[in-house]
Amino acid sequence: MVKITSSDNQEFTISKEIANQSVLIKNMLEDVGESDDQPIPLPNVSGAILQKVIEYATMHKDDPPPAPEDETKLKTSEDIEERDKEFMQLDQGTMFEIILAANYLDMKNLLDLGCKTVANMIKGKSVEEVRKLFNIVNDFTPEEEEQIRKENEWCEDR
Amino acid sequence: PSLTNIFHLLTEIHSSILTLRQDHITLSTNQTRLEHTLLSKLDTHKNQINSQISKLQNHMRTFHTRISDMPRDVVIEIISWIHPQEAAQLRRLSRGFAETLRTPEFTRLNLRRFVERRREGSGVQSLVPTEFDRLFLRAPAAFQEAYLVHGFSGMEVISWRFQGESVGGLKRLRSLEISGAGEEGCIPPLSSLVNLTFLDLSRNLLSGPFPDVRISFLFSMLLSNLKILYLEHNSNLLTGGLPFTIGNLSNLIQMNVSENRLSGCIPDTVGGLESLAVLNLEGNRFSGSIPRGLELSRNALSGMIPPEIGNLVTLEELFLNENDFSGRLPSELRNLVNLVVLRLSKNHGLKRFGLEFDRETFLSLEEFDI
Repeated sequence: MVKITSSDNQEFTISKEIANQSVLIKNMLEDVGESDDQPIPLPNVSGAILQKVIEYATMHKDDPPPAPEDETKLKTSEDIEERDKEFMQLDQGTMFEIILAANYLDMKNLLDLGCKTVANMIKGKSVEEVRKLFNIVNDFTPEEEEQIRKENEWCEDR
Repeated sequence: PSLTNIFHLLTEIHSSILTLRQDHITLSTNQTRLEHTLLSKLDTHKNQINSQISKLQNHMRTFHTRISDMPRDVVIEIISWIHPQEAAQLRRLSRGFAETLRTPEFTRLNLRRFVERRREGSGVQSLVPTEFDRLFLRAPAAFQEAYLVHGFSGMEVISWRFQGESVGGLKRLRSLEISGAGEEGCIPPLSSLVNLTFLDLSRNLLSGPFPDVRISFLFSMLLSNLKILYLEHNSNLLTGGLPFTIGNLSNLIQMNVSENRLSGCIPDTVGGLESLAVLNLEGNRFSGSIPRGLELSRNALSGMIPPEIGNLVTLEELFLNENDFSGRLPSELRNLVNLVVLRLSKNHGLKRFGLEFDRETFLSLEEFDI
């Protein structure tokens, strides 16, 4: 078993196979060795998020190891397992926290899942709609906006 | 009662006391045990309750993290899942997005998700441009570069009937054909195409950083592997004279620069192109002085003999025999009054009538073979 503590000092005890899904923790465990009983501090992840991350890792602990990446086969953001889709039914704040945690903990599958989910929320929306959805402030001057519009002419719908 | 009786009674009392004492010890042990059990149970409960509370707290907690708090790498990961055409539009979201989506890292990852790599192939392949080819060849150079490197770096032959601005990444390319580009074509950076043997830029309305491209600039990018060069019908653009460095293209077999606005003289070094089989200089404005002897025999020079040849008044030897010249002999040939040797034979398309080679004009002529 492996002990980890969150930024707000909550301690979690998890199995090694779950811990190893995070490349960061896996490397740390390899560095400190088996014997060390000290909990691993994860100062960038809060307890609440760590709990969700553990939930995800537990759900996927029996997954077969990923097949070697086939360069010629294109993947799309639509390829999401049903249980993962359900897992990502979260408020935006939590979703982005999980993405940050996955990025920090180096959990590729979870990071991919988060990014695909956000991408799917963006797809098909106008720039204005995306701004509204994610509270993005348009900080361009009118001149800059015009400049980008011009630059984008090559990719506008024909 | 007898003494014996009293003794028995005392013994009984003593035994009872012992039992009682034993009971008391057992009792107090049990009590401690019980207390301990209770306490530990309570502890467990307390822990459970605490954990429940923290879980509840966790569920109640709201986060205010937003997409704008994501590091650049993550934004790149997210948007990389969106079709390049749609993703490029997202540069309009904000300065931050514009900056991130302009990075080569983004373009690379985005392409990896959407564009299939062309199979590495040997031999000649004709390539039908895909939806993405068409899209990216209208894109700014940086996008094109990333696109070509991603999708085409294994290709050896590309034949596109539309503009190709940046093909610099295609190190393996042996054949490049960009013709009929229309008004917006421009000369691709060719000097990195070290394996190029076939180049067709004919019938383009080439344009570039300069309103006119001097042909010498184009030649400065060509490498000695080149065997076939088609540059015909770029008359609105290609100007200047053929540079003497044309002699470096030692493997050149065919060259067609007809119907351009090329001027000046034809450099000597053309004569040193030993592999050259077909040279078409038709429809240009070549002129100027050529050395005293012009030996172009046994080539496959074609087109009309340009009237400007009459400007070469100092010419003493002219060998144009065994070529593919056609049309009338220019009357300007009569200006070559210093000719000693003139050979024009075995040019099947050449019409020799209308020009008399009289002794009065060609005072020095000694050898004469038409």
